[in-house]
Order: sequence, then structure tokens, then C-alpha cells
Amino acid sequence: MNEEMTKSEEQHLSLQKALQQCELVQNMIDISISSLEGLRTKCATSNDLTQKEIRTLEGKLVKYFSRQLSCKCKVALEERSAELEDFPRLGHWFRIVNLRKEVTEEMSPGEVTLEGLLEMSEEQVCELLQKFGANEEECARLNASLSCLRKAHQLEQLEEDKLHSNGGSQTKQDWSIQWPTSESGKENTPVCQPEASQWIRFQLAQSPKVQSKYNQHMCHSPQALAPPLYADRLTVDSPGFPPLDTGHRSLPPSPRQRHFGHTPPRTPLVVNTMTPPGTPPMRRRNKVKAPGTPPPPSRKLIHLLPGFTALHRSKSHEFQLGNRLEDTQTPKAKKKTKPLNLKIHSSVGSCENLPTQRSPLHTERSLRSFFFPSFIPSTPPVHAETPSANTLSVPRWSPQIPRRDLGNSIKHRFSTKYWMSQTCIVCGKGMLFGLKCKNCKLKCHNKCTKEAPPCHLLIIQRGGRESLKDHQGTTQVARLVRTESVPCDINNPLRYTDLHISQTLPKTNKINKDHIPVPYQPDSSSNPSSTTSSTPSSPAPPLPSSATPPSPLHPSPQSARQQKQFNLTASSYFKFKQQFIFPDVAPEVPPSRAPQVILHPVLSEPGNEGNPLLQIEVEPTSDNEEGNDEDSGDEFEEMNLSLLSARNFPRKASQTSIFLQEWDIPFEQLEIGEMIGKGRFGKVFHGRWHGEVAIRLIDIERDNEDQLKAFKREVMAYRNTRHENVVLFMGACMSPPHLAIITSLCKGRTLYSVVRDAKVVLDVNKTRQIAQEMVKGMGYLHAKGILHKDMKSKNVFYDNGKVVITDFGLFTISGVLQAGSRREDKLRIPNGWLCHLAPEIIQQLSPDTEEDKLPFSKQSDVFAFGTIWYELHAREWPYKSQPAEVIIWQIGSGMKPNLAQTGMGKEISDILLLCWAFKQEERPSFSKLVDLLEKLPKRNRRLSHPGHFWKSAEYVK
Amino acid sequence: MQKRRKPEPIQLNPIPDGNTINGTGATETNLEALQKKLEELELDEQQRKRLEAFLTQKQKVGELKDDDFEKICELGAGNGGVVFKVSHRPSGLIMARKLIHLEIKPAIRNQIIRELQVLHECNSPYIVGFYGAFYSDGEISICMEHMDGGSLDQSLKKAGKIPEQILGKVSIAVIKGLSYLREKHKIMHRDVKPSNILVNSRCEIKLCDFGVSGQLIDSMANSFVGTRSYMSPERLQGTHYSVQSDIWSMGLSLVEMAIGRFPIPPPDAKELEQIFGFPMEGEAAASESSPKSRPPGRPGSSYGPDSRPPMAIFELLDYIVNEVNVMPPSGVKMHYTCFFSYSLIKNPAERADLKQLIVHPFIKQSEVAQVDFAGWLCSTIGLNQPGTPTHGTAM
Repeated sequence: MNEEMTKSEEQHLSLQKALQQCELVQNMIDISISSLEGLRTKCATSNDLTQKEIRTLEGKLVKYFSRQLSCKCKVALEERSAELEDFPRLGHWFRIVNLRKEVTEEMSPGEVTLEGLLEMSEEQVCELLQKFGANEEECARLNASLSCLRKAHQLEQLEEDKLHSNGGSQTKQDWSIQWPTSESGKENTPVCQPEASQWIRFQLAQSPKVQSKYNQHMCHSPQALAPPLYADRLTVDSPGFPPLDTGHRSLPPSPRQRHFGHTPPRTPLVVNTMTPPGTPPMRRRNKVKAPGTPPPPSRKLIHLLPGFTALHRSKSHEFQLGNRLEDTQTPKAKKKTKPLNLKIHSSVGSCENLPTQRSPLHTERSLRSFFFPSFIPSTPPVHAETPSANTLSVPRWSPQIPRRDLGNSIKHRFSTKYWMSQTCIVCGKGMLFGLKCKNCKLKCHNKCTKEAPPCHLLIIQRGGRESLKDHQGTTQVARLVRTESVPCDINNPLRYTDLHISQTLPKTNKINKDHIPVPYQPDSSSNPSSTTSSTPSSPAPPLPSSATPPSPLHPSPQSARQQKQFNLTASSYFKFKQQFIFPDVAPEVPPSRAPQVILHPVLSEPGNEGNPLLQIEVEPTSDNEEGNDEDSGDEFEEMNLSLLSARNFPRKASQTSIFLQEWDIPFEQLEIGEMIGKGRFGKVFHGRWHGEVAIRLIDIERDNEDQLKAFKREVMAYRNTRHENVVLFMGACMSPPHLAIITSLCKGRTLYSVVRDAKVVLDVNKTRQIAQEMVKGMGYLHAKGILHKDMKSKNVFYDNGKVVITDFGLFTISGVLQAGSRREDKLRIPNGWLCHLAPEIIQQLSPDTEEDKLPFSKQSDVFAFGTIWYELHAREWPYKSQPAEVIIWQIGSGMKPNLAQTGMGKEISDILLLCWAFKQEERPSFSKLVDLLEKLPKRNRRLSHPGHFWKSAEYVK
Repeated sequence: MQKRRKPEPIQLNPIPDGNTINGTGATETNLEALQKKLEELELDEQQRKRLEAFLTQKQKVGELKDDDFEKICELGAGNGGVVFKVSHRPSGLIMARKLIHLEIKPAIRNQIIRELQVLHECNSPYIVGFYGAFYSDGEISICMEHMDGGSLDQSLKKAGKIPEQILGKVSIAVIKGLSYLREKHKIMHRDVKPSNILVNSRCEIKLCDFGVSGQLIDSMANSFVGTRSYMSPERLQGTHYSVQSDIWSMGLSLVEMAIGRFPIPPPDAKELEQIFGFPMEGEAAASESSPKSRPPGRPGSSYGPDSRPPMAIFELLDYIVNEVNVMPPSGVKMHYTCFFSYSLIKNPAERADLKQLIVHPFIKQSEVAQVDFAGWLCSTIGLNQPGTPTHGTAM
């Protein structure tokens, strides 16, 4: 009964924690994406530093997403709330990938999910995307990014798997075993283990260097070592450890135990950074004791750990503090603690660490132990007995775990699916989204999993093992692994088991996809609350909960080997992890590993078993390569900030995300004020949206899908514009009745009115300066591949020397030429428009003309600029008051207006005539214009007398 | 003299006019001048009566206000505005009210209204009568005599082609109208085209929409350009242009109405066959003039725009400027053809001027011809049958 209660509570808590975690991470994503987009739009994207920044950000984003996935995984499918299902946000991923908005908008919400995409083959992804109008390049980008994310998952999986495998193969002692056992015991272990072992090899392969680092770290701080160990162990040994886990559960937090196991959890250092339940010593012991198992994992962990630094610790401390408070609040009951633990795990991402007790790494184990009933026994000693190391970690948590195991011996290995139509086996209702057990193929709603019949396959396959293993812990280890990898909530034992199963069973890879595995232990840390919950844990600096549970600090020889192997493969993984590999961009190499945050359950007081404190340790995972540390350090800082903020305002995160979300501004959010202008595209209003803005309501009079698409296409292009001379695009309303573009509010007045204001003196210095500003802005837009298409003085704002270009790109969607105003076989020609059109465009005009069919080009923008240049000096449009036909014929045939009347100097008219060159290729680029303008005489003198006289009839071709 | 007597009512008119138009009223001297002008016009009895009747009615109108109008129906959309058939309640008159939406400053608006006042003085049987103009709620209203036959482009659409006899009458009206504007007001029309030639069931043919207000033109937010341009080559080229330019436009319009489609690009022989072959057979004029073009009984069903893709506007204009001769319609009678050709000479100096045209044989012929214009018009418009040119009279 109690158990059940706890379960539900745990579930609830786990859900909340996962949600919090996701929101936290979402904050980070929001920030990172916006800065990423900012970087991408920088002129100097070619700049190495910028590039590096971009890569780094992308890497971070991958991590964030994998964290979210992991967090989500920790919540049982059926428990997931709509809010949680909101993560990870595909739209944001698309922004990272930089899909055009038209494409993303084609997708109805929920139609596609990131998880779904991750499970698809590249071809499938392409097919799907192309359905929405994505081009090949975008598909390729998306696939590249997805594969990166997948790899990130795989890494985590690997680590988890290693843990599992270690546990399985080696079976033994390490906490890893414990965790897995607790969780895995239920189902996964068997399958997972084998796979895990493979992974382990990879890990081993990874890098000797890492190992060495780890070792050092370990020497310095056992904690650091521990995490890696964990990972390895988890993968390795699921089976043996269950007992340990149970032990944890039962003895939630005895610090001492932990100490025994790994390192004295409570040691200040340990506590701060890593103190996981499993004390480092314990782990070490474990590893040592059980040579086969944990060591390798530990090494992995080590890799991850190398980065540990004081900084991390400090951060972790902060978190921990926060956590502690929370934790303290949380009740002591083991059950309660479990939930806490669960949260922790979720936070960790990979770390399922339930228990406060555990150090982040340990926590996982502990969680597992909770899940596994067998562990429940929970007396720390017991754990010690089984696998010594395991025992240490285990004790705290055990009780819950066992329950879980008992309850569901076999769990489904669910993965989230999207179907066109499918029926839920449980409730019989149709569903679009749901879960499918990879083992028994059972399909049902998330919410129906509770009711779902047990997984037969699992039972058959694993039943034997589990029973045995549970007791021994090997199975447990496996379970642990599973949990980590699996998306399901750690919180819910049931789910856990499910998760474990899924992970263990088929292939970790799949699991990995679903979950973002270990690598990012920092994630784990991210769940502050969870951390608190866990206890005292100790020193077990150990392992980032998820990543590597427990591997002992000491790398066993085996572990070393494993690491080596791992290094090979792993290094490559690492590289991929952090970076998206876009087709056109050579992957930059060695991204540092993601920092890992380790949650250490800290027992504030030995006596308070019920109130475990979790300490968060941030462990920078570093690649073997140097320099990673820095990156990781940054990340940690970010994480810390996010974590802190999250604690304070857990719910506000989502708000922020809304703002950034897709640039789509809900129309309701706009306060529309007075009309400040009326253009071809509709009316422009002064408005408020987080400050003063200009709101352009777009009239698309006809129900024109194409126009709508065009609108979205343009909006996609605007997102990335940031230039002093270009109006700041803030967002858009893109739901059909309400189409609007929100930009910053331009101060001053239009150049059009300035030029016509007789009071304004425009000498050459001034006109040149204005022109230079325009040219800079236009050069920027062109560099970004954006054509203005409607360059004119009414679209340029002038305020005390400052020039801002607006309305670029809108022409195509203006509907100017048709919408509504079009009469049968007549072309509507806005006043003053024609004189800005280059000959090649004007020649194309016909009543059938559609805006988007006109041959706009960079050169045509230059021509239009020329007209403004003319206007600046003549103070009026050329061809003023001429009938449209006259302008069309004259421009179309290369005639120029009579410049003699304007009295402009030769230097000025020379530039004008260049811009107005009949042949496109003869017109200068904007960058060339910068030079030309620069060369203008700077004195405010009458430039040389007009050098060119054109009769209006003169034909210049 | 009676007509001149009638001017009295006219005298009354000026006052209301003045009120109507932003207070700038015609003074009595203006009235007298007006009378004088009327006398100078070579009007026949009927024309004189009608003109006087119009001016008399106009006196009753008083100041035009938006509130006084009741919309009856929409007559069409003109350049930059929509025209409604309205009832002016105070006077009970039916008018055509053209609404032009302009977002402009009061000063400019007043200038436009002022410029439009010139229209009060344009009293001719060949010019659409003007009741007044005012500004209301963002829109300039120009109230004119309602012509129940609509414009010739509307008739053309329904008739497919307009028979020579009818065009003879049209030619006369346009030439006299242009002459009136030039001689009495020293203005040119600037926009002669079928849609600016209005007709009614009283057999009246009148010009409207001539460029009185430059400010109005400048203030229009949009202009509309289509597949037809009646603009003369010299104007397109930006050189000095004059009334000769209007003659070009008239010539092009007449040819268009004669062949049933805008003559540029010019129809090839095959198309001319179609145009004048079958349909023209029924008509003496056509049959006589175009032996070539009336090969065997080919049903000249489609004389609309040819099948070629529409020209880009520039292409069209460039053709007008640079192609030798727009086209002497080869399928038409001698005088007829000659008249057109004469008015479509590219060089404005060589082009026939108004005085030459008014004495052109074709015009002379047409003046004496008895044409059941109203019958043609009513059957064309009333029947709604395209391509049924029922005009009875042969020349």
C-alpha cells in the first residue's frame, strides 16, 4: 500500500520534476537559439570565432534537447502531461536546423514530433519533410542534425549500456549493478547487458587520455571518478546489483554507507560537487572487488569527469543548496525520497537517479534500487554485502524500487509513436500518438499503459533472469541501465521498469534515440528539487548519475581496456554530439563533452534518512582534447544560471519560450494603437508588444494559399536580420485572418517626407551619409540573400542621421498588383512605384504580372537605390506626374529623366547613372557603392556642374 | 435666341454652382460669359434645348452634400474611382457620382476641387454635363450627368464590333468635343478612349474624364495600365505633345471599336478574315471594303483578342513608338480607313488635326447619314447579346 502511494506520489513528483527540468532546459534552449540565430545572422559569420561560437551553441542545443528527451523519458508515458509532451519542441529544433518557416508552418501542431523524427530513417525524414515543402538541403540539414542528436543519445545509451553490460557481464558489485538491478531487474537487464557490453567496448576505446584524466581526478576527488564508473557499471552489470539498490532504498541515505562504497559522501568536497550517495570509496571498492564489472564504466565516467573543476562544484553547490532546501521540505519517507530521487533523475536526464541519497550518479542506482523491490531490504549493510559498492549506494533507496519490481515483473518497452491511425489496445479508442512496446508490439495511449497487460515477451525472455538477478543485482543493473536510457520516468518504478525493459531489450540504440542518454549529467543536476531530495549522499563523487553510475573510482584493468575501445568510437561520438553536421559545413571537430552535472544526494544529517539532500555536481565532460574544458565550463555556468532561475521561477520559463517560439506572435498579444502609415501591404500601426513596436497588418484579400506561403517565406527570411540600418524584425502573426509583421518602431520620419521638406537642407555631405547608411543596410540584406524588392524613400526611415530600411521583401506578398484592386486585364500601379523599377523588371510588367514573378535581383535593388539617390538631390521622384505608360516605356527602353533640371553635380549623376545602368551587370553592387560614395568629394561645395544632360527623349542603352 | 434666353436659368445656375463648389462660385459675369459661349457653339435646336434643360435642372441642385445622395447602383469603376448611379434627393435628379478615394491634405483636396470647377464651364453637347464636385469623408465626389447608355467600351464588349455608321457618329462627337475643349477651354482631353466616351438613348455621345485637374491625377494612389494603351507615340517618348495626341487616341479607339479588339498588335490577315469575314458580311460596309478579308464563309466567331499571349505592357508601348504604322485597317471602307490612317500617323505633325478631320469625307458622310443610334444602342445593351450589331441603317 505504501508502495502504491509512493508510486503515485513519485509519479506526480517525477512528472513535475521532469516538467521543471524540461522548462529549465527550455530556457536554455530559448536563450541558446536566440543567440545562435543572432550569431548566424551576423555579417561575420565567416569569422572563425563566430563559427566556433555557433558550433558550440549547436552542441549545447543538442545536449539540451537530449536532456529534455531524457527528462521526458523519466516520466512514464502515461503520466506525461500535455505540458511535458510539449518538450522537446520540434519547432525549436527546426530553428536550429534553420528550416524555412513555410516548411515548419506546413506542419500542423503535433503532426510531427522530434522523437518521431529521430526514429525515422533519413529517407523517411526526407519524404516527410518534402511533403511540407522542404527542399533537399533542408532535409539534409535536418537529417544531419537528427543524426547528431541521435548520436548524442547513443552516447548516453552507450554509457548507460556500458553500465548495464558491465553489470550484466561482470555482474557485480558496483552501484551500477545496484541501479540497474533495481530498475533493470524487472525486465531489461538481460537484453541490455549484451548490448551494453558492446557499448562498453566503445567506451573503453574512447580515450586513454581520458582515463588518465579521470584517474587524476579520481585521485583528487573520488567523486569525479565515480560518475564514470557509474556509467560503465550501469551498462555492465545490471544483474548483480539489485540488492545494493534495495539496500539504498532501505537505507536511504546513510552517508556512511555511501562513504563506504565510494567515498565518504559527506566529505565537504564530495558533498559539494559530487557527493552522491554512493560514496566514491564504495564504488572504488566495488570496482576493485568486482574486477570485471565496474571499472570500465568508471573509466568512461572518468572521461566525462575529467573536466571537473572547482567551478563545477561550486555551481553544483549552489544548486545543491537550493535543492537541499527543497529536499528538506520533501518528506522523509523513503517513498517520498524516492520521488525526489526521481526528480533528480529526470533532471539529470540520463540519470534517473531517484534517490536523493545517491550522488547524481549514484542516484540513478539508488533509483533503480528503489524500483527494485529486492533492494528494498535497504539496509545499507545488506548492500554492502551484495556488491559492496552497490550496497553502499543502494541502501537509501531500495524500498521503492523493490516495490516496482514486484509490481511489474515485466515491463513494456515503450516508445512513443505517431500513427496516422491506430487503436489503443487498452481502451480501444483511436489514437494518433501513443506508445508501442518494442517487445510485444502492444500499442496504447500513454495514459493507458497502466492498464495495459504485462509484456509477455519480456516475461518470457527475461523472467528467469530477473528473478535471479533481482536478487543478485545483476538484473538490477540492467534495469538501471534501462531506466537511464529509457524515457520513462524514473520516478515511477513501473515506468522505470518499462523503460528499462525497453532499453535493455532491443537495442540501446533505439532507446538512445528516445532518450538522450547520459552524457549530460549536467542535466541531471538541473533538477534541483530532485537533488535535494536525495540525500546526503556522499562523496560518491561519483558518477553522474545517469552517465555512469558507479563505476568505482579505480579503473580496473578491464575498465581501462574498455575505455580504450570506447575512446575510438566514443571520441567520434563526442564530436558529433555537440555539433550538427550540416551538409555544407564540415563538422568541426572536437566538441568538448557536455558538462555533466551530478546530483549527489546528501544526507544533511545522518539521522534524517527521510530528508535526503541532493547535491548537484556539475561535471564537465571533456573530450580527450584540450580546450573542451572551457566550453564545458561555459555550459556549466549556463546550467547553473538556468537551474537557479528555474528554482526561483520554475514556471516562467515557459513564458520566455513562448516569446521566442517560432517568431509567431499570438495576435491577441498585440496592442494595436493608432495607424501610423498605410502602405501597399496594408496598414501600419503603432502598437505595443513588450514595448513599442510597429505592426504591419498584411492584407491578403484573397484566400490565397500561395500568398500565405509567400508571407511565411518572407517572415522566415526576416528572422535573421540584424543590422543597424535594417529594421528589427520581432515576430509575426501568422494565423491567417491575422497576418502581421511586428518590427521595432522606427523613429523619425520617412526619407520620403524628409526629402520633400523644404526646411531640410540636404547638402552633399548629408545625402552621401544617408546613402551610405542605406547602402550598408542593403549590402547586409543582400549578403543575407534578401532582396528588398521595394526600395524607396517611403521605406527608409531617417532620424537624426540614422537610417533604417524597412519593408524589405514584402513586395512579393503585397498583392499590390492584384489583390482586390485588380481590374480585369489591368495592372494596378501604385503611384511612384514605376520609377524605382529597373528596365528588366518594367519590361516584364503586364496585366498578368504577379509580384513574385518579376525578375527582382540585387541589381534591381541597386536601380531602386539609384532612384532614391536621385530623389535625395532632386527632392522628387523622377518622372513625377507622368502617366504610367510613359514611365514604363521610357525606363523600359533605357531613357533617363532629364538630369539637367536637377542641377546635380557630375559626381552625383555619375553614381546615379551607374545605378540606373540599363544593363544589370553594369550596375554596381552595394559594396561597390560604398566605395563610390566614399570617393565623393566631402566638402560641401557645389559639385562640378552637371556633366550629363539628358534630354528626356534621350535613349541610353 | 430662345436658347440664349434660356440662359437666364443659366444665370441662376452659377450661384448654386458656386455654392456647390467650395464657395468659388461663378459670378454673373461668368454667367454671361457662359451664355455667350453657348451662343458661340454651333448647336442645333435639339442640342440647345437639351443643354439649356440641363443647366436649368442644375440650378435646382444647390450645394451637393454626401447626405443628399441615394445610391442606386454601380455603373463601373473608372480610373482611380468607382462610379455610382445615384439619386440626388433634393432635386430628384439622377446623376452619376464618381467617388475617388484620396488620402490627402485639405489644401490639396481644395486645390482639386478648385481645379474641377472648370467643368462647370464645360457645357457642350459633346461633353458630359457636370453638376459639381465636393469632398466628403476621404473621397472626392464628382457628380455628372448620367448617361444611360454607358461607355462605348461597354457597348463594344456587348456588340463585339461597332458598325461603321455608329462609329461615324462617334467620330463626329469626339472631334467636336475635342474641338470644343481646345477652342473654348484650351485644354486637351489626354485620355480619349472608348471607356471615356459615353452614350445615351437620346443618341448623345459625350466625352468625359478629361484631365482637368493635374492635382487630382498626381494625387491618385494608383493608376491602371492594361493591355490597351491609347497614348500617342510622342507622348510616350516624353516629347512635347498636344491635341494631336488626342487625335491619335481617338483614331486608335475608333479602330478598336471597328475591329472589335485593340489594334495592337495588329491583326494579321487571318485574323482580319475572322473579324471581317463572317460577321461583317451582314453589313454593307464591311463587305464592300474588304473583299480580301472576306474569304469564304468562315464563321468569324472570335474576333476577340488573338490567341497570342498578351504582350507585356512595355512591348505594347514599344510597338506603338517604334513600329511603323499601327495599322490602317485594311478591311474597312475607303473613307473609313483613310480617316483612321490619317489619325494614326506617328508623326504628330503629319497627323491630321481636328480641323482636317472635321471636314474629312468620312465625317461629312457620317454627318448626313441617318443612323438609328438609339436603336442600335438599346438593342446592344438591352439585349445583352454580344456580337449582334443591329444597327439598321446603312450609310
